Amino acid sequence: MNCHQANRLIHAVLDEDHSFQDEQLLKEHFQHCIGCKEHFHSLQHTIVLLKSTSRLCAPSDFTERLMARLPRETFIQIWVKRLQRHPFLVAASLFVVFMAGSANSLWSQDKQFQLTAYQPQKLEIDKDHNKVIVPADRVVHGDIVVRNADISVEGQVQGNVVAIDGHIYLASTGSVSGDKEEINEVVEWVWYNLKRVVHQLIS
Amino acid sequence: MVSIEEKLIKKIKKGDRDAFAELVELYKDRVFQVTLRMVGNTQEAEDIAQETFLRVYSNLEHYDPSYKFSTWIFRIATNLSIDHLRKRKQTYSLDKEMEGTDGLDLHERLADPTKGPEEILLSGELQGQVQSAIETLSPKYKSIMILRYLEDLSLTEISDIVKLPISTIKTRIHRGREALKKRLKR
Repeated sequence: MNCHQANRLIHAVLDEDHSFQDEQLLKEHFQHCIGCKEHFHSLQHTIVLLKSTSRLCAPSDFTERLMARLPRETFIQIWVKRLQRHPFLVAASLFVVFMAGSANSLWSQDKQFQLTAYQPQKLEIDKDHNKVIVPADRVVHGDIVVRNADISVEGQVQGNVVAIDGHIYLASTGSVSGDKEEINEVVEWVWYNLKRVVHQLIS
Repeated sequence: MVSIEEKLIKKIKKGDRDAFAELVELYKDRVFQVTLRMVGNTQEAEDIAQETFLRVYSNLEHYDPSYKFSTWIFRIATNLSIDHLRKRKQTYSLDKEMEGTDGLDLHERLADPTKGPEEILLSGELQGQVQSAIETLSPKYKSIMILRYLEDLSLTEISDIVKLPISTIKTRIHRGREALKKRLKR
């Protein structure tokens, strides 16, 4: 083996990429070639020096300064983060906000006269007195709901009668097979709506 | 098995900044070590390390999970360092023309870095010798020698980082070793 071949083996050994046989060949070569032996040892020494270099740490405020340089969080990202941290609180507060909004809009719609009935053609409407009349000789099927008006029942109603912000007058000839209900307060109105929803859910 | 890095990356992609800070804490010392050995100046090394993490943050979508995260971040760090050294070399070559120092090899001039107060860190006697020996290497050898012997990475991982075949890495390590041996002769 000449010195050129030996040099290739030296690097193979340093790369830990050699066979047992390579190592034996190299040892044999070193016995009669001081130059290659010294070369090998000083390369080994170089590696030890490289590996012994002290490890330096990044400055202590490195992370802090880096975080300050990140692109700013967008409005959406901030909300997503809050949502992830407190999902229940955010969901509950959103629910309250939307409910309050819709309840308020429903209530403020109610300034106008409104009539909901299954058979409205059988009813008479007295616009001057803001009154809905169930005529004496008629039988009206289904529920009647009146808003911002009174209702005078002279005939028969086969169902419930509800007056929101109004009164129910029941004449001696009239009859209501279901419930009669007058609603004049916000609280009552909400209570009525709740009852209705629950009732629908059950039935 | 999902690595810590993968878990953190998932959170970061969802916009979790604390997870990013954790990732930085995990890697800042190793990244700083590489950039410092590459450029040999703490201030510049820190700037490059910061830039490395900013790139990681903004390019997280392009990270290929089939490679180790360390492979990716070391690639960014070494590439930025090499770019930095190239720019520095350009300013030096301008100086060279002005001063007319024809006889001097550019590398020898670079080998003698101006030592600011921060360089004291690197210059314990032996430490300083090793660092200035590393500085004499050209960037493409320097990065490979640093990854191999200071970061103790395998040839395969280095080959993934610099995107070169293992045979090329081996050749560079052999030449790098010879060059450093000459510089560090007792």
